[in-house]
Amino acid sequence: MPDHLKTMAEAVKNGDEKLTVQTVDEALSAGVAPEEILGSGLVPGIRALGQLFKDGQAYLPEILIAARAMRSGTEKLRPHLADASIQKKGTVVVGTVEGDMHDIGKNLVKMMLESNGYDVHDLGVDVSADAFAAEAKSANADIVATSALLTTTMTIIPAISKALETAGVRSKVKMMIGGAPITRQFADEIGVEGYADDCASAVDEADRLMKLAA
Amino acid sequence: MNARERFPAIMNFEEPDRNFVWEFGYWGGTVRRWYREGLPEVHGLSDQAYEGTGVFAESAGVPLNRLTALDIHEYFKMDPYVERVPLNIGAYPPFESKIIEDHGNWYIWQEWDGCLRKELKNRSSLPTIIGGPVKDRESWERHKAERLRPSLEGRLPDNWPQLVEEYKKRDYPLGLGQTHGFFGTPRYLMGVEELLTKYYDDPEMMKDINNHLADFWIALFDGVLREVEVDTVFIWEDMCYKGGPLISPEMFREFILPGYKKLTSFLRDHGVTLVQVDCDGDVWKLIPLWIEGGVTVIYPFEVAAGMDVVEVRKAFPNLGMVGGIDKRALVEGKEAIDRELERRVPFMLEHGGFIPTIDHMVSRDVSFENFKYYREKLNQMLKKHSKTWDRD
Repeated sequence: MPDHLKTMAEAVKNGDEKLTVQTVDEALSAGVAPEEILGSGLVPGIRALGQLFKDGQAYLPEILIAARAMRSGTEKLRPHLADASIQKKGTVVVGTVEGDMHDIGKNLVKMMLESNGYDVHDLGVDVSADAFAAEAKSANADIVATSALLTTTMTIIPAISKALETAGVRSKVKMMIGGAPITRQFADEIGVEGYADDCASAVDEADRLMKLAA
Repeated sequence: MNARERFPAIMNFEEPDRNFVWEFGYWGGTVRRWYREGLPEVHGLSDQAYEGTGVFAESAGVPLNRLTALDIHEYFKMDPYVERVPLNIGAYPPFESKIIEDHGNWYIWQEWDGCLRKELKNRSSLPTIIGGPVKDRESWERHKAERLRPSLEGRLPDNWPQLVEEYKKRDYPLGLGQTHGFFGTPRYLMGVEELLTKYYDDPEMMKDINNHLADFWIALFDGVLREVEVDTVFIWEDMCYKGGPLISPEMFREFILPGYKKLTSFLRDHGVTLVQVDCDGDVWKLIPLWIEGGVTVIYPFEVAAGMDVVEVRKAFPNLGMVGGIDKRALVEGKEAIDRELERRVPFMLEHGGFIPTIDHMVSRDVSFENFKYYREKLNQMLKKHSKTWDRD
C-alpha cells in the first residue's frame, strides 16, 4: 500500500476526519483512481478498526468517530466515483422489530455495513414484519438485518421470516439478527441464518451470508 | 434485626439474621398478566403504568416519578426496600414535558429533565434517548447555570421537615441518589451517540460536566446529610451492553473515575460507605474501576450479558452484589428455575455480601405460576441460611 493510502487508512482507523478528507484530496490530486482510494485507503482503515473492536481494543466512541471519518472521506470521493463502477457487496434492509424503539445497535450496524461496502436501506424503528418484507422485495435485498432489545420483542422475529415467505422472497433473502437477548442458539432455533454479537461482527456475518447465497 | 440493620450487615459481610426477600421490579404488563392469572388485585396498578413501564415491588423508596406494585409486595411478603430520599438531583427548574415530534405509533417527547426520548405511544417498550439540552459548550454553560445550581431550593418535597422526623425513627434502610451517574446523567444531557463522540470532540467539556456533577451532588447531599443519616447512595449508569462497556476502561479512568473518587471520598467522610452502582450488561471490565472509585455494591448482574455472580464473587471477594438470577429461566419453566437457583444461590449465600433478585425487571413472558415457584424455591434457600425466618 502506498504511503499516502496508509496514512489515509490510519486516519480512518483513528477517527481523524480532517486528515481523512485531506488525504483523500491529496490522493485525488495525485491522480490515484477513486476505486483505489476507497478500496486501499478508506476501507482498510475501517476494517482495521473493526478488528480492534472485535479484539476488545476499541469501543463504541472509536467506532463512531471512525465511521464519521469514513463517511466524510467517501463524501469527498463520491463525485469522482459516479463514473467508476464500484460494485456494492450487497443490499441489506435494517430496522428494529415491531415494538422496539432501541436503535443504537441497529444504527451502529448500519454504519459499519455502509462503511464496508453494503447498500443499506434503513427502515428505522418499530418496523412491522410486512414492512420488512415489502422493502426486501422492492429493493431486491440480499439480507434483512433486525434487532430486538427485549425478550418480549425478540419473539416477533419469526413473523418477519414468515412475511418474507408470504412475499415470495424468503428463499433468496438471508436473515441476520442481534440484540441484547438474542443468541446464536435462538437464531438456529427459529431458522434464521445469521447472528452477530456486535456491529463489527455484523460485517463478517453479512460477508458470510453473501458467500452462502452465491 | 430490622431491615435498616440487616442491609449493612449483609453488604458488609457480617452475620445477618437472614437475607432479604427483595426483587428488582416488573413491567406494568407483567403485573397485569399476573392479575389475570391469580394475583389478588387489592391495591391495583396505576393507569400510568403502561405495558413497558417499570413497576417496583417495594412499598417505598422507588426512584422519583416511578410506580409501585403493592399487591406483589404484600402477596410475597417482601421486605422493606431501601427508601430513597425524594431529592431531585437533576434539572431544576424542570423543563416543560411536551411532544416534539409525532410519528404515528411513536413520538419524540421532552421530559422534565430536558432529555429527548423516542418512545412508542402505548409505552409497551423501553424508550431510547436521542438528545438533550446540551449540544455544545454554550448550552452546557447555560444548563449548568440555570438548572444545576447547588441549592436545595425546590429540590425537596414540601413535607421535608416531617420526613426528616420520620427518617429518624425508621426501621428500613435509607438511600440518596436517583437515576443519575457520571455516564448516566451526561447521556440524559445529550443523548448516547452524541455523548460517545463528545469524549473525543470536546474532552475538556466532558471533564467539566463530571467535575460539576460531582460538586453539585456533593453540595446537595451535604445539605441533606446535615439533617438525616443515610445508609447508602445509588448511582445509575447502564453503560454496558452484552459486548462489554460502551467506552473503554481507559476512557472511564480519564473521564468518569475522578467524579466517583470525589463523590465517594465526601460520602466516606460523612459516614456513608455503601455506594451502589446500577449497570446492566457485561460489567466485568469496569468492576475494578468502580471499586477503585469507592463503589462497594453493584447490581443487577445481567446473566444474558454473560455476568455470573459466582464468578464475580471469586474474582472480587469483598464486593457487595444484588441481583444475578437469570430472568430467562423464569420464562423457560420450573426445571430451568431449579437449575438457575442451584447454580448460584447456595454458593453466594455461603460467601455472603449478596442479596438475590432477578437480574432486571421481570418480563411479561413470565407466568404468575413460574414466578411463585421461583420465589418459593428461593425463599427455601434463604430460610436454610437464616438464623430466623418470618417470611412464610
